[in-house]
Amino acid sequence: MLVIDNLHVSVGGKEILRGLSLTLPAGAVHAVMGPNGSGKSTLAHVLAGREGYTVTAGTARFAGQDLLGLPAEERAHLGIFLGFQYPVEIPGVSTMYFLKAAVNAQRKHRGEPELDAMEFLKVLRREIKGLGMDEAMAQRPLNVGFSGGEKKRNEVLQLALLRPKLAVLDETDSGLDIDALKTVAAGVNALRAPDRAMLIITHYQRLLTYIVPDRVHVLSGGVIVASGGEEIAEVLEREGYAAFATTTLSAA
Amino acid sequence: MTHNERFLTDFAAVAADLPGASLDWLCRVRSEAAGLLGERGLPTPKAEAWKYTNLQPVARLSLRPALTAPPRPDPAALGDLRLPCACSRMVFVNGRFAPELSTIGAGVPAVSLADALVREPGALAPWLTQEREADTARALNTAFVTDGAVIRVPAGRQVEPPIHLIYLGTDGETGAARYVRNLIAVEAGADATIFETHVSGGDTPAISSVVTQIVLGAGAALRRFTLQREGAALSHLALTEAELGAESRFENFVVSVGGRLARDEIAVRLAGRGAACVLEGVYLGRGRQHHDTTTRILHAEPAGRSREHYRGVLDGAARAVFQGRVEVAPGALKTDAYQLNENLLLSDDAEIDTKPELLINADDVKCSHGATAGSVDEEALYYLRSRGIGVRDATAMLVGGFVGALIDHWPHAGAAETLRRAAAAWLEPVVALQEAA
Repeated sequence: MLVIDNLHVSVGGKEILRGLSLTLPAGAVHAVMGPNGSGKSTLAHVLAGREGYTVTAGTARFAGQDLLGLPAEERAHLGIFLGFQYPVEIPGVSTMYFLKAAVNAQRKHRGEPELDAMEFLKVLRREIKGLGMDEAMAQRPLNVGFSGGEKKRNEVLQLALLRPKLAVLDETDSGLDIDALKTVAAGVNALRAPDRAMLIITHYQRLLTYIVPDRVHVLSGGVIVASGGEEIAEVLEREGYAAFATTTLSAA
Repeated sequence: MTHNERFLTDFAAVAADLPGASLDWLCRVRSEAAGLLGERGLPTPKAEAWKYTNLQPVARLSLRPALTAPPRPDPAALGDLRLPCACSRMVFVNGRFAPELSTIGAGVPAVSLADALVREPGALAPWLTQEREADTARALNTAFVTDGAVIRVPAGRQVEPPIHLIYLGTDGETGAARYVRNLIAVEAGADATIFETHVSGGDTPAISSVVTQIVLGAGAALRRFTLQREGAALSHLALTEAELGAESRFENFVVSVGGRLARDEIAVRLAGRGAACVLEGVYLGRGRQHHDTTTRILHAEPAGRSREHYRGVLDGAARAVFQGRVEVAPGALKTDAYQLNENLLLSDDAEIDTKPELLINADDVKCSHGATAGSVDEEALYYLRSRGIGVRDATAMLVGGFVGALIDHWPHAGAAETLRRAAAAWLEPVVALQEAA
């Protein structure tokens, strides 16, 4: 479903990804783990279409289509979703209004009728309840004054509402206490499906206790330095990233 | 004939037909104002207060007010101007009170200026014969004023529901100038909410001049909301002068979307201990619109508090001016003043001149100000786009949010809703323009 091949990406003249290759089949859940500065967030944003990144070599294809030339909204229309590490606060735009606009923008693109206010509210209530969230949050300005946990739940709520084909979750565990982590993980697990791939990007092994990946990749110095099963996460937990720091970490 | 001479001849032509023409004191006041105009003309950019706003194009327009009875619009035409709440309503058409379009609740202390000049001229004399004119733009209003609202809230009274003042310019008489003078007194401990709508159509350039004098007694409170939606060729010159008694509170909220040239000038004097004022507003400009917001706050006594927050959105080749002056008089200890002006520029040709000016002559005060100008937040835009919202709609959401975040907390739900809707309506073509770009 997602095939990244030899991807080189620079930001402001500095090369961050240096030949990253990764294949994520439909229905699979893969984790990408790496220390600070290894290129995890760059990978997430390059897939989602943030501007300011220069791809100097390599490709990223999604369902056979070249992603890298597309604007962010078109990638969303293809079914790509990024759960932000730092969800953006937008004063003056209610969460409800934003969620409805996002859902309807994608429905419209798929040629489905847009949901009216009542229809949308019904769907929203169901998902909010499933995530153990407070319905009042929908009336608040988007992410403004939300706690770290509320922001992350709001990301998972969007994931649930938008039902993407590929979910990239960037440090979804950061800033969460253990209860919030369990709720968020349960929300993500509920969305595991044969036609939905997930890429879980995280610094810590902790999240992977709750969202068990099919495969773990270790990112270091802008390349995948190791791939394997759960045992890799366990090695990381025990020995830290030094266990995988071979040639490239010093350059990161 | 020079413009200045024309002030005098135009005045001479209509003086006898202006309201209160039989009152010697008023004739004198008007003649003096016209004389001042004849001598000096309208303010030029040489005057510091008018540095960024050039009135010379205005000086070429017809100065004469319409004195014949204006065409009465169908009351249904007022439909979309109504507030989503009960209120008393005074409608002025082309600067003249239209009683048949107005509904003033029993006991609501509001009358038209022209009526008051007939019934109780003595009560108005102190308002209209104040010290010398602040400048000749004000003198223009004094010379030609035809009508306005006179609202006097007796001590301890609460006026509820709000009073809605609608100033309508009709297509049939574009070209004629409109001069309105409002006199608002909220006496000690009284409380009132006023909503003003200034609206006109047509493409003929004309002057709409509004001067509002406000006096708040000790402990009084006035909330005033204004929607300025004048026609695209109008020059809208608004001046508000407010005198605040001890522990009184004046809150002024404005949304300006209309006019070719629009100046909203507010001079507030915190004349009593512990007085408070809040000045907030939104100005939205496109095309070649020019929006000028000029505020002068004088903290004359101790423990006053002033809050100013204005947000502007400018597209096309629109230009805006924000001049915010805060003066703290010697002895006005414990003054707390805050000013913020934020601008969103949607095009490279849009321009903002923002000029804070703090004059602090007392110790132990807290004064701060800030000003920003920039484009739409890229990070926020990316976040919205990553959810599938196209760049056009995402931009509209962000601009709407920028404006809405300020309006939404204004302390009257119905007024805030109406003003936010007006801002949203303004945004639609901006969005269309961006799509075309």
